[in-house]
Amino acid sequence: MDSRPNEPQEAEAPPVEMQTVECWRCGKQIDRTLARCPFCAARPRSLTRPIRPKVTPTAEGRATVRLIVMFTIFLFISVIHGVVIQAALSPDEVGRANDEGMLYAALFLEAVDTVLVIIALAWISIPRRAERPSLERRATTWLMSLPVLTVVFLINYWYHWYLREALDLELLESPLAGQTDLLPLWIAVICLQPAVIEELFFRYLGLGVLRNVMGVHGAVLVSSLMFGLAHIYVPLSIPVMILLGIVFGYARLASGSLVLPMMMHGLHNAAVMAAEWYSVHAV
Amino acid sequence: MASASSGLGSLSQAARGKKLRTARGVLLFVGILTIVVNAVLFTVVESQIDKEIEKEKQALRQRGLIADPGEVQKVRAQAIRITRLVQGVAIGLGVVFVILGIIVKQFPVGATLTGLVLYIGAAAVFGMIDPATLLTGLIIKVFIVVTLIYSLQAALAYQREEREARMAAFQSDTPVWPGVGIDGQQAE
Repeated sequence: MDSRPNEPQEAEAPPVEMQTVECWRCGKQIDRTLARCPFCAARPRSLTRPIRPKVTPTAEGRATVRLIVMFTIFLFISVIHGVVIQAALSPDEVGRANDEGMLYAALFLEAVDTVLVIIALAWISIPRRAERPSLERRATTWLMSLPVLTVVFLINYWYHWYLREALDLELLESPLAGQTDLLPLWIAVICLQPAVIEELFFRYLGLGVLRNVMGVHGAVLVSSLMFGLAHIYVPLSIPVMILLGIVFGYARLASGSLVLPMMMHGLHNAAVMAAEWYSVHAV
Repeated sequence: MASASSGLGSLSQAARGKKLRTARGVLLFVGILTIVVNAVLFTVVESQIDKEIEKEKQALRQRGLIADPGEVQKVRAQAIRITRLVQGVAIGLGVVFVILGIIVKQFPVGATLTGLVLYIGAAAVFGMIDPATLLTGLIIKVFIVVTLIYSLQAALAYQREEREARMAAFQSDTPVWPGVGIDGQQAE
């Protein structure tokens, strides 16, 4: 064997294969170390453009964006409803035709909202199941719910009274002042549907999705903000709606189920309706 | 390999950080613009309402009617109160956007998400009050919403990586039990 160990190894090594890339302009194979393509003089793109790593959305990110998209659609439909349908019906006028028109417009909007919530439930991935609070905590929450709801209702009542006094707003003729045979439908529109559908969207989906991406208090606050802003057809009531959303959010967390916020929501709306009914018929 | 992956990780974090800076810029821009526009409108609200009332009076005169001066004064005062309230709320909203822009690095997800919800909600509320505002600057509005959505995704990834990095640092530094390492072996 005629081996010479002290001789440099480079001489025996096979030639380094030239690494080539395809020119983005002329499509020919060129040495990747060249500053320009020898055929068309194009600069390699990797040299002229900085590398920009893409921000790939996470599963929680996708769910959050979908929640925002559904929320935007809700708002958009409410605006359309408010602008087109309510403009066609004058709330200053009274009479059966106007009452029925307002009722059916509200029923139509709520039917659309219900369909949207069903789509949202199917589209947005079901949030991770939260840890169930202890029995003691749940019992305390249920016991405290009625006094808390009473306080919130009184705040709501005082807020609207103050607003009317401060802004000297005249009360619009309430559709509840009309025929009593429409009352069961109004109860369904004001008390039942919002209690179920809004709670499903804001407390189950909204709070559930947001809890996965931010802290508990932040999630309650943002979902309440969404809940308040969803009531754009009563813009002056948005602050008090946000407060209600916060109460329902914590009720959902502390009770570990949706039943309590649904009941509180329905009861609150029933109390508002009763107060309005009383104020209209007592005058 | 570890250094390569951490290099890529830091590169991704840098990209996310850039998105967050864009979000900060957008939130500050929206906030300052909202404050300035509404502050200007706040000062000229009376003359604007007087112009509108004058238009209404002329329309009535053309039909041979005369407006009741007492009623006109009442409507004028109410219109001024409501418009000032709306503009005051809008200025407050602008301040909130500025604050969200300032704290976006400390609370990336909370700030971008709140900003996005507030922006969409405010556009809808003002659209409800005056439908013409819905189409005003529509392209800019869409741009702002899309930018905030991308920023939100970047913020979520940013927050996740920060949390994982903190957890990794915590696990490598802290023994589970005095004298015992994280992998259960006796520490020196």
